[in-house]
Amino acid sequence: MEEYITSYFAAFISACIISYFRVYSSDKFHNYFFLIIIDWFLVLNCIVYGCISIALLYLLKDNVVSIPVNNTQLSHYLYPAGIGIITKGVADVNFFNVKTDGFSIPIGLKTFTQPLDKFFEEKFDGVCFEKSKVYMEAYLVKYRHELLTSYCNDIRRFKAAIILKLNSFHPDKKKTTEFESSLNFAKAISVDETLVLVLREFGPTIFNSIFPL
Amino acid sequence: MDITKAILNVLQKLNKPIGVDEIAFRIRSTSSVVKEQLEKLSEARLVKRIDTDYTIEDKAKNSGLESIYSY
Repeated sequence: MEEYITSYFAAFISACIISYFRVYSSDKFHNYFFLIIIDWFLVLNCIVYGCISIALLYLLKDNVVSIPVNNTQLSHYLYPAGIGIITKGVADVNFFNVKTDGFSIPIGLKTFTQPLDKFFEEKFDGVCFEKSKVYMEAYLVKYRHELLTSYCNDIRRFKAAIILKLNSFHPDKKKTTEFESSLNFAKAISVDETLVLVLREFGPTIFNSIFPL
Repeated sequence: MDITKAILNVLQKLNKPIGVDEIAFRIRSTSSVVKEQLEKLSEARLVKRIDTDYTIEDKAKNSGLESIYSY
C-alpha cells in the first residue's frame, strides 16, 4: 500500500514540477513569471496536471513501459516519475482537427486539455496584467517625470537612450536590434508603452538595470 | 495571428468590456497600436465602446471569427 502511495506521489510531484517549469519557460509568461511565481492559479494548474498524472499512472500501472528496478535505490520511482514527466505530452495527444464555423477543434486527449490550458492562460494573463500595473506604478511616475525634465518631453530621445542602455546591459545585440526595429517599439508614443515593452521583451532583471528606481 | 483577429479573439473569449491597456497586454502589443485597430473595428461595428472600455458587438459574437474577419 505504502509503495503505491509513494509511486503516485512521485508521479504527482514530477508532473507538478514539469507544469510549473512549462509556464516558467513559455514564451508568453517567461518575463512575467516573477508576477505569478506563487499565484493560486499556477498552483492549481500544477495540481490539475499532477492529478492527470495519477490517473495516467493508474491506467498504465501494469508496467506498459518496463524499467529495470534493481539498478539504483531510486529506481522504484523512475517509472512513476517518468509517467509524471510525460503527462503533459500525453495529454496533448491530438489525432486530427475538425474545422467548423471558423474554429478548429482538436480531436484526441487535447480536446479536454486545450480548454483547460486556455482557461489557465487567460487567468495568468489577468493576474499578470493586474500585478504588472502595481509593479510598474513607481517606475512610470519616475520616468514620466524624467521624460519631461531630462528629455524635453521628446519620446524619440527617450527611446534612443533606452536602446543605448540595452546595448550595454543586454549581452545579445541581435535581440536589441530586433527590438529597436519592431513595430511595437517604433509605434510606442509614451513612457508607459516603452516601459511595458522593455519589461515584456527583456524581463525584470534587465528592466531594473535600465530603469533603476 | 494578425492583430485585428487577436483583438477580436480576446474580446470574444472574455465576453466583457475591457480597457485598451488590458487588450494590449493580452495580445502582447502596445496601447497605441491596439487603439488604432479598435477604432477601425468600431467603424466596422464589430466592437463597441463603453466609456473607456471595449466589447465585442453581438453580430460579431454570433458568427465565427473567420467570417466576420472578412469585413
